[in-house]
Amino acid sequence: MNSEYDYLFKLLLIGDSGVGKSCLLLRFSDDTYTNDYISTIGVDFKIKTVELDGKTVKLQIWDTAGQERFRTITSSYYRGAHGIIIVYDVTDQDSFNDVKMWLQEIDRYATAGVLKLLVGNKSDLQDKRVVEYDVAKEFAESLQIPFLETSALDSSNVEEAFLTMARQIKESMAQQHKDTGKKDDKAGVNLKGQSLSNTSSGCC
Amino acid sequence: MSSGSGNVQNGPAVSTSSKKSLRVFSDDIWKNKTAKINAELFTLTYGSIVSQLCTDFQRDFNKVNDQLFAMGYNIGLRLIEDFLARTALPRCDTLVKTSEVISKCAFKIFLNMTPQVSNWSNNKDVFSLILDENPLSDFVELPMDASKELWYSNILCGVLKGAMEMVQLDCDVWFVSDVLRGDQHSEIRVKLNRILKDEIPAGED
Amino acid sequence: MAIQTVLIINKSGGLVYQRDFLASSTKLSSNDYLILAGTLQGVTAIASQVTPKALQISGSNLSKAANETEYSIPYAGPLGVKDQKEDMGSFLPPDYFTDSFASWSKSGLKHVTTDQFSLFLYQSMTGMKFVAISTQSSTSNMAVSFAENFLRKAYCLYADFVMKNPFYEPEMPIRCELFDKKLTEFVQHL
Repeated sequence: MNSEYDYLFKLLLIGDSGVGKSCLLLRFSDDTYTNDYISTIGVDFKIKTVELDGKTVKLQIWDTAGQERFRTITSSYYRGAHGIIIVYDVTDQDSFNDVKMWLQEIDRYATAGVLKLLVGNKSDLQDKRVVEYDVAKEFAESLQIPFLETSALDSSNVEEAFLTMARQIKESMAQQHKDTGKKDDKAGVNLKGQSLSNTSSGCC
Repeated sequence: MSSGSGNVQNGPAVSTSSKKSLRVFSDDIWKNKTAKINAELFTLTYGSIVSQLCTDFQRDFNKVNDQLFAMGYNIGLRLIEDFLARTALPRCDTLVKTSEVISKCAFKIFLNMTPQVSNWSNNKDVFSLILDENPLSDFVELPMDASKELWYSNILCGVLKGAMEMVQLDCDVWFVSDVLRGDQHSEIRVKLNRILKDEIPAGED
Repeated sequence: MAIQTVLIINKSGGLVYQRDFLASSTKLSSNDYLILAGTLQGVTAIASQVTPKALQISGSNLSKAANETEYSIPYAGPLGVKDQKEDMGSFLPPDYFTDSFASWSKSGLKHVTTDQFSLFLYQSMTGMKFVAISTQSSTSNMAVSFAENFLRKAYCLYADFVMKNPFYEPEMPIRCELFDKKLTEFVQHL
């Protein structure tokens, strides 16, 4: 049989450069080696294969460069993303302030209703911390985005968050089938990568 | 690696093709390139879907309209690939051109009909397709309770919406009149909301 | 020119189809192919950005000229393809194409060549990318035109056996046996 996997989900990793986006996923992905395309084309890939309800799902994580010089190209990487993870550094106030800017970019380029996740990285560096957990938590709640903190020492909760996201994407896909015909249903993930979603995918 | 601008038209292919008007071009595709089925079977199939939907939605005809639209939308998302593969037409640079391709080419190839394009808005972003004939509703008489609410051929609006969205045109498409309801003619209105510029594939200028 | 591999990449850069037609010593893993697909997506975007403005203008002029009021029928007799009796879907034969296929992508990536292989890429107006990797390094116009024809036909098969399969979920990996079968037949008849 041709394809080794049943589903392919596109997840996008964004945030200022230097917040440790790439390290976040090292232990999570299938391949432990790092390929370094990011400095060349502004994006690097990490892939995780998971089983969900007996289906093989590939999570392809697009790890984008935070640098300004890639900005025009990275915007094109938002296309059709099912989930977006915004990362900041708890020891760097600017990186947290910039989260708002990243959210604006999501609104501009990504599919309406795309799943989001806010991650504060380097939480092991307690003495250097400048972004308090409660502040970030409150901010995330006001926007109804799930939030968690993590560190290179223990990234198990990131894995958990990714799996939860994958499950939600798959569920919203099944949901769309049931909802075919509800014209104004804006909830859930639009799987066709279009910025407007007044109808749903499914069989014709 | 090369980025092929100014696409070369040479090569080994014997260019026997002569340039044709859109009408002749579409006629040729319809006559020689398209597999066809019995029209009665097609009409009956569509009719049974609509009547079944009316039953399933307990004669809530607004819901039936929505459902037909949604079904059409999903068809449009898929059918556009067939249309593009079949015709290889270039991208239309104006909505006027788009309307021409829809009426003379798309309707011709898929339904063997050519609706008139008319009622343009002043700034050329809204137009109407006037359907002189409609193979979907050849034998149809609407029941009394449906005649004010049901847009029997609403699937067409969905198809147009879905197909145009795939080529990055965000449009609203709706019926304004239908001979089945006793109107003078059947008219579909198409309004271009915006061009989804961010979604035009890289490489197109 | 033998086709080694065909890839289909959806509009968001996800690899939805990959098939090898030749037993090759250098097999990539499915993850490597996914990365290749994503990279091609990125390189296409970059290629279109580095295209000099002057070329972009002449490119759009060309398409306008072809667009004026005249259209040419894209079909012609077989091109380097053995006589084909098989049913190739809803596109009635003969259905190979006269003109080298006027791809909608004017400034995007079209082909990549090394001493060992050539990679050809065709992008549809909807953003789908069809990629063929051939075992020979070929840059001649003939090879390019041949590859464009091949990919165009693959697009037709996709329009038929993938998009018209009501149980296929758009944008997701293609698992359509009929499509597999038709594409293999087609490649073997080249």
